[in-house]
Amino acid sequence: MDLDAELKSIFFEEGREHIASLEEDLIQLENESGTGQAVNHELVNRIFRSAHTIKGGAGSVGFGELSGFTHTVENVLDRVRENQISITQELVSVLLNAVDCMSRLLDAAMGEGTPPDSTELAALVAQLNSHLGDAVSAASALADQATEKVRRQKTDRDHTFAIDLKLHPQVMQNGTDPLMLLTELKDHGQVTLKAVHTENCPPLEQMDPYALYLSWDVEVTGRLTGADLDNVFIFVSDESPLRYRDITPEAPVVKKAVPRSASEVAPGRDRSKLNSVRVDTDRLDRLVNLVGELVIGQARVTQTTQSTGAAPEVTAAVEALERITRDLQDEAMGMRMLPIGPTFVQFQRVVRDLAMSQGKEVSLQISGQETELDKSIIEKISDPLKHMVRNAVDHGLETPEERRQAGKSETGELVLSAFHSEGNIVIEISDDGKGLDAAAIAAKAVKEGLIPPDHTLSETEIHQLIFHPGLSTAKQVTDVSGRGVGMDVVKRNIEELRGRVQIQSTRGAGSTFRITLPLTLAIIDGMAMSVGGEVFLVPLLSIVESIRPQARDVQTVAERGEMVQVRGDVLPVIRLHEELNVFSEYRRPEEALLIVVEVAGRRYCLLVDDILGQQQVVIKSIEQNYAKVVGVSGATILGDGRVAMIIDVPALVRKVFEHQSVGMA
Amino acid sequence: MATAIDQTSTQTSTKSSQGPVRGDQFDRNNLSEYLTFTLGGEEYGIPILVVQEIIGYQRPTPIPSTPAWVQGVVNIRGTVIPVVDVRAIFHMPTIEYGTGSVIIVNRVGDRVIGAAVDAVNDVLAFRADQIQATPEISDQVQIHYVDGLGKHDNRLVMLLDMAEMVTQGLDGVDLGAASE
Repeated sequence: MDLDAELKSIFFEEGREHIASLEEDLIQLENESGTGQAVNHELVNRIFRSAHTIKGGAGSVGFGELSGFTHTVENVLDRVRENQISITQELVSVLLNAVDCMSRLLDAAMGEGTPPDSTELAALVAQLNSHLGDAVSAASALADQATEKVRRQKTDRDHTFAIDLKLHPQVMQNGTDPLMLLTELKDHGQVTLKAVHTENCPPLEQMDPYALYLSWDVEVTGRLTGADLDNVFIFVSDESPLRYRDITPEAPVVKKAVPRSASEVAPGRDRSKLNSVRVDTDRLDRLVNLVGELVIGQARVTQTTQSTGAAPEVTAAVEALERITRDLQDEAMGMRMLPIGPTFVQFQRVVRDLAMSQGKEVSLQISGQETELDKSIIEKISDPLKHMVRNAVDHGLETPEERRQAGKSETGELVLSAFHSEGNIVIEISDDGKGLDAAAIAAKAVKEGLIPPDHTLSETEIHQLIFHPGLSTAKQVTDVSGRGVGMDVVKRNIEELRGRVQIQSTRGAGSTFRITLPLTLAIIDGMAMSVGGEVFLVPLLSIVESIRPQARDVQTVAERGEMVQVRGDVLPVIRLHEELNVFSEYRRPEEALLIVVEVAGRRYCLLVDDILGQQQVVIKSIEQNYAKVVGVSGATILGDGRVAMIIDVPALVRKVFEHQSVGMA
Repeated sequence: MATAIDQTSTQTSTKSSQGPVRGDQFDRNNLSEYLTFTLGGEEYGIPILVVQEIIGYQRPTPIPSTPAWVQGVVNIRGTVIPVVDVRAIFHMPTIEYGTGSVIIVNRVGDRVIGAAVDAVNDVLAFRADQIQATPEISDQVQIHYVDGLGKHDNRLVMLLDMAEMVTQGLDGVDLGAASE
């Protein structure tokens, strides 16, 4: 990648993060101002800095439109910072729209998505500027509050500052361009270059092309104050305190800028500089894959030393190596883990906008933000989660009127939580709304021909029907705004992540959607089974128990569909060897083993030859070099180097029962 | 192959000699190189550039719901690759592969695909005029995978378009339908 493209991609990533934090901070600002708290200056400053960083970054990589637009936003934020504009819900809405626009401009600049058209942009700019207009009248009203800001106020006459522009040698590696700073300085007045210092330049062969060896003496004349200079150099002053003097003839004031206090330094920026390195996720994936290989290789070595009866010294050394390998594996896996928090936080915006548009009052509560999940799972779960959150607000929670009549508080509660449970991650979305109407769902399903009118489904089974494509899409016709996915897609997405979703709903009291996900996609806890001489793995997450039935518990329907009674429940039997096209002697269930698995609240039995044991395996893609195979989620490499298939239980069940429509969705 | 390429510059004088030349004496500008292998008594060639490596035959793990000409998958240093049975693609009688049989590992586009064959023979280089268009054969034969016929003394080598063969095969198969 050439330097320019690399810079752009760094800016793109950083820009995304800043836009996300802008959104989060703006909503927090709105919430705080709504509760009548005093303006949180630290928060406002953070918002301002985020916008400022985007503006500067966009300018330096040549995204003029984004930079220009952000400048307008920054103007408004500046007034907010100066207490000249008060924070209203309307202002936050405009700013949030502007942030959306910035996000689209950023995507468009990177060649993704379509940019907002110019009329839309112009309208937003006009809206933003109208808030600037308000500021004039608001400013006088707020004049008494603004006294502390006197230092920042514009002076009424020209000042001349002599700046000793000596930046940290590594400053360019942080994306700061001295030329940019000078250009920005020009906005404030007449800039004169007095001297260039080249004495720090090393001989050519020792020169680091990315280091800055030059320093300048600059004079700037205009209606500006020291605070303006601080603003220009806000991001370089941490490592290289800026020296400037007011050399306006009448009032020479000597001032030395001190490094800003920790709270004022842009958060994240400082920390990331010290403690973290940006690594391409592809490289991370390769590392994780290699560690996976190492684990497999290690298992082979261990197996060989055990089976060949190696000398005790060798065994001890291998065991030591095994421990290191395991630690390395944990570390490597941990690198891919990210907290779920930012994903939850972005839903605040979704909930806020939707609640406002529907005239509902919703309080979103978030817990377990620090729960960590594999990065790729977070990426893939975000959209399904968003859909479920929207559903909860849209269908679950009632209007204040309805809630009052139902004897509930007017504000609906929506709780998003994440936590660990039995080696999995659980994400719950619960609302205290009206709950699922089982009777209405059943009636709809009967009408669509999904279930017979004389069905005997339990309430839980009826709830599962909302994941059926025929039902959910039909219900969603009335929905707000285009979302493109129905609950069936949500469920499928979750299953693709080898997770499952359960519903608990009480009519009138609310619903809870519980999503259970594996910790990582790279490794799976599986039970190894032998079927017809081949080894297969069934994910532990779907297994309930294993049984060897009595002959009298096994029944057939029409001499084909086998059923087995397990403690009073009659469960269908899936013969794995038939579904997987492997040769197995015909064995009756009472001679073999049945693995009871659970899919979407229903249980099935898998007929296998034997259980070999539980093991953790690294998942390998079959699709990468071949094609997607129905009923198989991937492959793994066993200790002896052979390949074994990992069974995708939900897909297998779907495949077997796809001609039946009831409850299998 | 690195050594073969190194020798190219020193032995270019041999290129004027008639007949096909051995793989270690070729001129890259005029000749195309093929790895040849046998199926029964017949000799086939595939472009050397798609060949990543050759490994001894190991029994692949069968994959459910796949056409008969896909034997299954094997593990090559941690990567799971499918193995196609070239005999099955040409509807030839299948044999029990064993020692001596090989899997030719090919890089086709983004995929890595193994091809199980009886044995590998040689690396041969053909000049353009030594490659003949495929004559008309009964349409029972999967002729569209044959790029041409290469002549080498009295040997006839059927030159295969490996990429066409495996990708057509894989993309053409509706695995969902095959499972029914």
